[in-house]
Amino acid sequence: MTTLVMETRQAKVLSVLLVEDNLIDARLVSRFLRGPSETLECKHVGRLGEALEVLKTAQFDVILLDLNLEDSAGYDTFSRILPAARTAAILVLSGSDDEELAIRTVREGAQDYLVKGFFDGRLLLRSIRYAFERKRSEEALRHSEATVRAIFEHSLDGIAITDDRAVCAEANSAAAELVGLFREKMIGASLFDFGGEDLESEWRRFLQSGQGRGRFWIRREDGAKRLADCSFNANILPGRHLLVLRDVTDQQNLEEQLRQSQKMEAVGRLAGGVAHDFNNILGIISGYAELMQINATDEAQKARAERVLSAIEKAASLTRQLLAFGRRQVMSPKLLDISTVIADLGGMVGCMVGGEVQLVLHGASSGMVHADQGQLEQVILNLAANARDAMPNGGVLTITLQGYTSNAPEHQVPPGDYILLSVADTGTGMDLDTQSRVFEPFFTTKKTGSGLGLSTVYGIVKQSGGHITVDSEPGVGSTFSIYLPRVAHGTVRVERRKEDRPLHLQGNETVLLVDDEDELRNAMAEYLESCGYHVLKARNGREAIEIADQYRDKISLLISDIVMPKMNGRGLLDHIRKTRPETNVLVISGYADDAVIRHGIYLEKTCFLQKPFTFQLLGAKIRSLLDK
Amino acid sequence: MNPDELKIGSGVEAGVFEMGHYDSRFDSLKSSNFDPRALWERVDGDAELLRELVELFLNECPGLLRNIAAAIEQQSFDDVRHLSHKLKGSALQLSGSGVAALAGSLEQMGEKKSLQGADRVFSDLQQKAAALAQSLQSLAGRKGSTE
Repeated sequence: MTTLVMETRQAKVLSVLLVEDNLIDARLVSRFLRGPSETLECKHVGRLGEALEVLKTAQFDVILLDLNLEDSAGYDTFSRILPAARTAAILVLSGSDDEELAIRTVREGAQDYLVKGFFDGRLLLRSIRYAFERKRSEEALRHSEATVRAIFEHSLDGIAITDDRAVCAEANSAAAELVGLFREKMIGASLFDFGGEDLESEWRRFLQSGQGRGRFWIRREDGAKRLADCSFNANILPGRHLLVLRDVTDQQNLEEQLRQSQKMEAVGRLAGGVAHDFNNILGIISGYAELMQINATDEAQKARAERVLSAIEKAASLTRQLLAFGRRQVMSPKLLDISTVIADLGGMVGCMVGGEVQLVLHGASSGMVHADQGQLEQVILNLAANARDAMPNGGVLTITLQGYTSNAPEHQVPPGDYILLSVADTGTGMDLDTQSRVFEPFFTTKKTGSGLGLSTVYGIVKQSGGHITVDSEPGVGSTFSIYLPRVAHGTVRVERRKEDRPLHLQGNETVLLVDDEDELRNAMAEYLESCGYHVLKARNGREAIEIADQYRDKISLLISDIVMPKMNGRGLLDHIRKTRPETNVLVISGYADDAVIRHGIYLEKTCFLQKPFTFQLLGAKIRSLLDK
Repeated sequence: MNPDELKIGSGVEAGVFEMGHYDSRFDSLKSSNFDPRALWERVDGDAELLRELVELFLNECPGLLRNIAAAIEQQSFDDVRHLSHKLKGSALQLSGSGVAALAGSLEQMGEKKSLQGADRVFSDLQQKAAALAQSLQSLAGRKGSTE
């Protein structure tokens, strides 16, 4: 006897429901099912109604179904039992050798159609086992297909299946969204309709290599461009290729912003560091130049010292801009209404841009920001000066102020409420390459520019917690947009510029002067002594504490650098505040806010002078502190 | 036509052959109406099963024939179709191809709702059924009365 599949040791015991009203058929089939081994359990019912009742409470692996029963006949019998027996393999046992009926039932889900009198026990058992296995495979396939379909439908990535010419045979909603079409319209469309040359070259590469990853731009119907990452798999079926598409436009933009931001941060740190060291050197030169000026025996000597000091002022101006870009300027932020600042500056801006440029100011008070007024003025003046230079033959300079709320996380500006200050010109504009470098220090397109104007603006905006963007088109013009966080409440304080006043710099108080730069310390001491002060000199914080602790008389003023070896300015200041609370403090540093704030010294409680400074300014500061 | 004229004995005596072995003498029962070897193979040489099936047929067949005759007389197409189909199925399983063919013809008539010539077919069916019963009884080990 031929070995039957069901005789294998691992064969599952199948449960069979026999629906048969003919007793001879039923008896014969039952006997067949008893078979050579105990691998089938059979239940027999004679009517369809009975079968449907049984199926409400029990599941069967296989149903042997006679189509012509007392209560049902033909295809109707099959179609009525089918919904009640979705998981069972149905085998039709019919007395009718009806080809059409056989095909119809098999097409609708029957696993086989056997004609009575033309099968024996072995054939029936084999058919039952095969029918069960086929059904099981179909179910597994159905589950797998349902899973794949669900993934396909709900994937956040676009999925498309195309032919060799990139025509979409299938596409999910995400793919349709990526190209900006309704899904129905995408089916039958070629991906080449949405891509440029980069897609076509990627496509050729994909087909040659069989699989791989790539990136190309997609032009949406609405004109927008989206960058897509693509994973490609050729011939998942003959002539059918799978593309998984991910929209990485926003990610790309964010990465570019981050790269730009990191670059600016690094350049800023470098610029700030150089400026700090340079300021110290300038301080020494400036100090001795002033001493030369003070002690000059004739006018010629005095004039030469004057020229040195003038050159130093120019150098100091450069380092100040570098410090601004490096965000190491000392800020004195206040609640400001920018509209008032602009109104005050309007005249000056008008004069600066000249008669050929029409100045338009838009926008009233839109709320307040927390910023340094002087720095904000510098920002507006720098942008206006650039705009003027971009419009050599005249044009329109528009300064606009308005409220702005950012909601979209992917926008260049994080979500929040802002005051938007935009400065727009109708000048020469910039190409993309220039735009990407415009805030770099020393980058300039002008013959005589320092390349520090916009980098200073950038540094000030960032230091103020704001954001700056540029939109420009060659030949059309440029718009710089500055977003400063809007402050909910507060009172407005706009300081009017103070007129220069004559200064009285003489004094006889005792001053403790602390700086690790020997030359600068000595120059300052010489100057202060020439003004009549009694100067105690120290090279660092520890030495200053020793001097202060041993000195019995009053010390009216401590002048101290911040970053020093052995003991920094903060330790010294804490000690002096504790032991000599009456002593005034003047902090001097070439490395302003960052170091000052990091060392825990709050400028509201001390007075600060950024190196380099003139001795005249130092003298005035001292008097303003001591005469309070 | 009187179905009662058809007399088929019921009950089957104990087997006259060994289990699993077909006696070629039964080839003498072979006709266009009946194939004993095919039936023997279908039951896989199980004489007990064969007797059971024959007994079922002998019990079922007279009633079916009576009901078919009544249905033809009453022009009840569905009944003609259904009852003939049932008889056909039984005959097929018992390798009674003659009876199956005639029953199938009546089934078709019922299906097509046209019983023209059904009386003649039924008459042939009665004769063939009686002959089949005779052959089955012989094969199963008991000579039954068909008259």
